[in-house]
Amino acid sequence: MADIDAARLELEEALGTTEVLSDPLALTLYARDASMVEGGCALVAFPHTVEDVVVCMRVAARHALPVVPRGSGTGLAGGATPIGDALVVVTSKMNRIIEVRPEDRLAWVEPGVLNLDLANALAPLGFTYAPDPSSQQTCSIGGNVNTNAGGPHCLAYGVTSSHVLAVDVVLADGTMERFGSEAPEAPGYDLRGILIGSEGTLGIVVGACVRLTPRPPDVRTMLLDFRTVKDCAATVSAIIAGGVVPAAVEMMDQGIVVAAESFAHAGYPTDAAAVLIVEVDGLPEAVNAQARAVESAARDNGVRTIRVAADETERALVWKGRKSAFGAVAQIAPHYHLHDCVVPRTKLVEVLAGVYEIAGRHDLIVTNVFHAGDGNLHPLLSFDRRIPGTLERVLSASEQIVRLCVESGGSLTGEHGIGLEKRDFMPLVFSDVDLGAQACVRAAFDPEGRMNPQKVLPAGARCGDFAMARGMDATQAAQSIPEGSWI
Amino acid sequence: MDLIHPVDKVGVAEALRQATADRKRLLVVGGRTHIDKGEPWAVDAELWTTQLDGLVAYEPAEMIAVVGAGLRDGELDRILSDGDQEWPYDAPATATVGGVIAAAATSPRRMRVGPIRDSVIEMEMVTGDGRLVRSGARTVKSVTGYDLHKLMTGSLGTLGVIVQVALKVRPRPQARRSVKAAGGLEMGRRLLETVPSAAAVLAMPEVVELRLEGWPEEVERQLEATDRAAGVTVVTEDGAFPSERPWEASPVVAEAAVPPSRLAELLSPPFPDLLGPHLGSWGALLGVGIGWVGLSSSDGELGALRARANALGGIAPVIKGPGGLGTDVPPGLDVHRRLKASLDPAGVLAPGRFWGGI
Amino acid sequence: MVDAGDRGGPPLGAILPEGTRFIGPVGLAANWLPGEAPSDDDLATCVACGLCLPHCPTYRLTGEESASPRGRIAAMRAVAEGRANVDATFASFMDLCLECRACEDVCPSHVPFGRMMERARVQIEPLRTRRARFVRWLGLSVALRRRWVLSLFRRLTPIARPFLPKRVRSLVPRGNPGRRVPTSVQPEGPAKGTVAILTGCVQDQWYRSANRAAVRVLARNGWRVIAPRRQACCGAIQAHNGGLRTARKLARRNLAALESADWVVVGAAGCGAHLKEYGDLLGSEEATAFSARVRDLMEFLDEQGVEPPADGPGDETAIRVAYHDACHALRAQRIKDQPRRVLRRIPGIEVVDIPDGDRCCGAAGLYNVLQPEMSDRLMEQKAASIGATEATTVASANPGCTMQIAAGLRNAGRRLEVLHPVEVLDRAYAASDARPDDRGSTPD
Repeated sequence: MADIDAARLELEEALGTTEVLSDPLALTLYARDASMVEGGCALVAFPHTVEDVVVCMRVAARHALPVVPRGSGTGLAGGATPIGDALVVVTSKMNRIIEVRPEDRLAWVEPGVLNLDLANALAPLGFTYAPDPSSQQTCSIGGNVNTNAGGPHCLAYGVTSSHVLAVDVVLADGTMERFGSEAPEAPGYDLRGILIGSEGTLGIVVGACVRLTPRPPDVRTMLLDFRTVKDCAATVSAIIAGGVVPAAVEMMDQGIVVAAESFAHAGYPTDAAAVLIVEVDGLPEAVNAQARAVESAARDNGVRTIRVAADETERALVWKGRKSAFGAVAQIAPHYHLHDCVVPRTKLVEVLAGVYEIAGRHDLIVTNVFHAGDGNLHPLLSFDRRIPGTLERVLSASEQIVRLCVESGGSLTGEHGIGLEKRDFMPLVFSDVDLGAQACVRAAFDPEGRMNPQKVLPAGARCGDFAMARGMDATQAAQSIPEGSWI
Repeated sequence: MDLIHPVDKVGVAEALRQATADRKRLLVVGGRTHIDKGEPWAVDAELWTTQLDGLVAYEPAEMIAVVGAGLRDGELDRILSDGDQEWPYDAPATATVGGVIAAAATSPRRMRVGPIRDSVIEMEMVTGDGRLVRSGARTVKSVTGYDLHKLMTGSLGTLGVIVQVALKVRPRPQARRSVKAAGGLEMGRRLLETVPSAAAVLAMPEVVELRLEGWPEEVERQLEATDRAAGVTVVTEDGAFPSERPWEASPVVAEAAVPPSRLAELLSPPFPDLLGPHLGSWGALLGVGIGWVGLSSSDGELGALRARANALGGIAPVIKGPGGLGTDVPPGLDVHRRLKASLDPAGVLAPGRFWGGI
Repeated sequence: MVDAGDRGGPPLGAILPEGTRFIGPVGLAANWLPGEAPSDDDLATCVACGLCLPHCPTYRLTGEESASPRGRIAAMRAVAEGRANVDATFASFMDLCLECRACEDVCPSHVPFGRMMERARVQIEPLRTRRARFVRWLGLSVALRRRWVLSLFRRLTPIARPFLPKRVRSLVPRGNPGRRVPTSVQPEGPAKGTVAILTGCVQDQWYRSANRAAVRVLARNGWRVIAPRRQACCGAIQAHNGGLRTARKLARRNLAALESADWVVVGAAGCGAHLKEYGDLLGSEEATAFSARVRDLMEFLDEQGVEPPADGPGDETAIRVAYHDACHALRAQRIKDQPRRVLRRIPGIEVVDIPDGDRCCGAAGLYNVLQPEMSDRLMEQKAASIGATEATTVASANPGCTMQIAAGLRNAGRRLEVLHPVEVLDRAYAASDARPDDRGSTPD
């Protein structure tokens, strides 16, 4: 039984009493992130400096407390939901942009800097920070690093992994390391790369060196609508086949367009089966060429109307509908479960049909937004969790939707992460041997297993267990464990 | 020297299991084009991947190609051309995809296409003790567990054998031009600042070669900007980039990596003069921070180059000839050791080849 | 019909590790104290997405969940689900909220946070110490309800100033407010209609110049203006601080006093917002009809039109006015463009926005007295933002904000005048009248 009181005193001593929470009601506020799962914790700490984070880790190590890092708490998979005696380390007070170096196209930021604040700070210098998830007004860079965040612009620009050159991390034993480099190559294995997307299980990010992306000289935004979903999806494929990689390709089905239009009045056609927002950017000549190619691909695939935003105001209006999607959906029912399916682009239509069918069978309303460019489908299941039995239907539908995506050749999650919610789905895509190897990687960073335990890997995955894979009998297993090997 | 030449993934797994059981040290070999990179090693056998050269899946509409790690880059390029696409890392035609990834080779067009590790989205590998392991997914975005393929990229075959990869590919640009202009670093700097969205600015001691790619109208405009900045130029349509690599005439080539703004400093006087006749030619990717430097040997001058790169915040491993990687200790050395111990418990994969004595 | 899949048993993802659960009621009775409380239906609307956080001024300053709408709702939910009590910790979380309602604007789930917070404030009233309750009773139910008490306080202030608490001393403006507005003023020509103005309590004592300017401007633009003496404090501060009964009494009195006019025009954003809610507060048809006739002063002038002055407000050089949007104008009444349009009809004026202009200044009714540290930090932030505009004048249509901003600018050593926007227009008219022939051009 961990000595919480002793840990609390040590933390208060080092951080100050106002920066450590132990009041039961105060702790309740940190029991969940934006997912549907809540847990509990024993202590919450607010470090202001790297040294503070080191202290948190050392105190936790001394008292064998699990550690759960938390940024803004916008995660949708339960990655920041603490369990049991956890020490939640909140990085919201480490929110300074430390330096911006346009000559090297990089900036160093603390983990609590909010994504949109960073982009806004870079704008006057002619730069932006490319990964722009929908939660960008609130989500933190540290959180982005831990989920390898995407956003509508990541097809052309890449996900967080392509935009973070280096990370300063405090490991579970309290040591601080810089993985990656300001230079294009660094010595050693790409620990930076494996840390990005590790959902708080390998260490606490205390600084990130982010890549500055020059703001494109020109941009054109188009709103296209279609009579059938098939035409819309075929257009997306045709655009890619035509050699265009748009800066953003967002698709919305009729259900969500109707809801968004009544809420935001952006001028979307509510009788279209599907609507596509395509944005191309670059030099003006490139923009013209790409726009022509997009229009041509659309016309070849039965587009009904093409609306091109004439100026910045109209562009904002075109995006407004898309950005109000969640606000619109909340009018259908008070609660929603946002899924995060990634499937091959060519399978979008059949997966979408499957999603509708699953929702129908479970008596749930589903609307869909997609980052069509990278096959990232976000079905939104609307429901009222106060009605008994609803949650069970939602979970059952969710499982079937995930299975459908995996069977179509897709992945479990494109941007939200595995967290708590999808741990048990991991065996759908990885074998026991795969999961054993992943457990080895995790153990290499955190041998004691105290960083955000019970997240990402299912309960059975253990390093060294690889030989007990299903289907391998004991003799084979014994033969494959070499003498004297580290287990 | 024994030679192991498996025909498929199962064969590779069996070979590694055996090697671990026998404590036989292996060097993984593909096309041998990047074989020099690494600290000196001693091995008992070579494991060739060249028979794992199948095309597993390729759908241009997905912009993803899944290939055996032994597929030659030249062959991959031919396959992707049919779909009007490319895997733009410009390796020698005889290099294997797996080898290029294991060496984390730098593309001359890196300023536009990024580092090679950003293009690997799924990987199957065999660990030192013969486990066939998969990580990643065949989708452009995925946050599913731990991305072992990130560790494997650049690992020089010391953590496992890459047997299959899914690669992000991109459309082949419609217009491609290489432009040569007289001048060195200064001209390069000027071009970098004035030519919008260039794919590469490669400065060499006497000449700068610029690569422009994109839509025809876009490239026209870039050419105009180049003319204004550089005056007399020689323009070549299509063709390989760069047209020549003068630094490769030297027996030792180091690939220095420093923050982009400091690259010019690395190669500016007085440093080149200090190296004197030991310095061959060089090529600097401005805006990226990679510089290829030809040296006459791996003696004193290599150390001087490395010290200078360190002082500027970077490294300078050798990619051709003797000289190793350098004495820089990788951050997280304990983590490195644990990773090595769990993925290659018997230490059969080129022990000692990697940074930090791994 | 639910399909359980081919294995039977619970779906994947339904089994959670020990110590975690899906959110939802725990089946225990709520721990609310007797009286009004945040409703379960309202609580159920929040899905904890967190999009409100960066818009909440107290979250921006503290980075702590308890100082954010999401956290405050989580605390309310804990009480509603029987997992926590209405205790001192709960009260401290609620008390730090400015009730600026910036969160409501951005919430995708349309959570009615303002209403929930008002009810939570009722819940925490019994927790206050006897002394605190006595002081609040004195202020809310006695002083603000009785004009003569406030008037006495104002007259005594110059003598009493050194003995006042430092906080109050720094806020209360100096100087003689001048005469009260007349009870009835006729326009020069035929009257377009009758407008009743709410003189307010704080506004009437310390910012009478704004009320006088309002009367002059309205009359000049053809309105008969009445200021019935029977009117009372609007009741907003009582309503936001747990005194709903007193608030209702005040509302009924104002209904009676102001019902005879075509329009009821209010020059204070907080009061105007509250008067527009009399319908909800009292729940009667009469109150709803009354609320429909209420207009903010600048909103009214924009809607009905104003004569553009021939001249600027007195100086030869153009003046730069930084326009401050009170939370109760911007959010509760959706007033943003209207006052700017009116001001831009004045020649020689530049109207600029304040960076992060939609963030509360920290006045928030009684907040600046009850939560001095947080209020000070917000005041400082606002003064710095205003400084960045390089304006000469600040226009603020709410006395609470005006008091706070003036104090903040004084503390920061900046010399800017803080005026009600109607005063800027009034000065422009005065300047035009003083020099009718110099200009040589006729008004539009």
